Amino acid sequence: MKVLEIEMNATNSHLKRNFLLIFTTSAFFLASCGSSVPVMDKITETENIIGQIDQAGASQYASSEFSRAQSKLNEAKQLADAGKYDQALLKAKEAQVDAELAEVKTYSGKADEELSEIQASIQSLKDKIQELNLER
Amino acid sequence: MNTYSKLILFLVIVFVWGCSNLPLLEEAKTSYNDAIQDSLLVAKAPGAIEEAEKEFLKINNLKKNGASDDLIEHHAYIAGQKVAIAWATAELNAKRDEVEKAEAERQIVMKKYEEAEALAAERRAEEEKIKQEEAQREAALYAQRVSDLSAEKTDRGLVLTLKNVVFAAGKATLKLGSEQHLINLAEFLKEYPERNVLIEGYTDNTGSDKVNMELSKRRADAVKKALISKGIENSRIQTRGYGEQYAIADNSTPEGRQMNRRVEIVISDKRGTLTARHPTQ
Repeated sequence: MKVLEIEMNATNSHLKRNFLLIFTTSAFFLASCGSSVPVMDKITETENIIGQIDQAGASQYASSEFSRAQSKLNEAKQLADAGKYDQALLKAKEAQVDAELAEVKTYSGKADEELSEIQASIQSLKDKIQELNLER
Repeated sequence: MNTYSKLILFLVIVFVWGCSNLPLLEEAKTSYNDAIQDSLLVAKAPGAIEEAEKEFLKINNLKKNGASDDLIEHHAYIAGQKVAIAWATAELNAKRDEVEKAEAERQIVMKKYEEAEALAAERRAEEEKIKQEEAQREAALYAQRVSDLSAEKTDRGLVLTLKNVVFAAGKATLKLGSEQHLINLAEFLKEYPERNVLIEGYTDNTGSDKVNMELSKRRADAVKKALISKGIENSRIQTRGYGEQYAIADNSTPEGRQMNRRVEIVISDKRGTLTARHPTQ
């Protein structure tokens, strides 16, 4: 029996050592760098918004806000690559609000264009009506 | 409070303001305060304003917990951008309202245009109908006048043979009785000033070819002179003599010869173009 006990103790201490190693590594990881998961989610989210507004013509209608969002997103990516997840998350959040502002301004610019197109169309219709009335 | 202490207070405020190491926070507070003054803005973009407010609450908590300036400035930046989004959203909504109004106006104008176009099409069709009717009436009138003249349609065009404008053998003097036919022709030519005439003289086969050629030309010229005397311009009338060529009856009988001593008048088309029997003579 004694022999068996000693063997069991040995096994326990081996397990304990492994657990300790895993725990310290994770704790160190969490404490020093934060988690990469929310950062990557935020970066992906912002990237999607930027892609969408780029297609909607943000570089034309809201160029300064759009390029600011792009450069902040790049900064966020670089910080994330360097393992500075906390700072990266802040940059990604800033990039997101910049992109949101660019989005609203893009739609505003497009509405301006739409308005002038409609007004031009109204004018052309009015001209045509006048021409038709002059035919008489 | 005396003037001196007021000045001190002012300087302290300026000093604190100037030394603030949270410029973004000051900026965000100012723009937020401006924004909430505008009730229309708050009504039009409530979401963005609420989000800005949440950021300010976060900032207050962070300050209490002694967070770093950088973190506070980050949240201030977010708050400031949210206020900017509120302004931009209100502007966008106003523009969309304008677009909607303009579109509604465009629909109305479009309808008016379609109505005007339909009216114009109707008018054009009516005008076209009137024009066609007029052309038909004119054509019918012309046909009537041609039939009055007893002209015949030939491959040279309309040809009027003045059967009664007959000549004594060897003479180019118009006989009496031909007058009425020439008056009718002159009237016709006055009615259709765009049409010209070619007067062709013919003889029977009595006499030499040379004499007959001259005689036929003189017969045509006699008719031309008569038409001029009835007011037709010289420039509208050409004459030709064909001698005994193109006989229309048998020259072996006196009746046949009488028929061959004739004048044919070719009436031009609307453009005044005439077709002669021969290219030239």
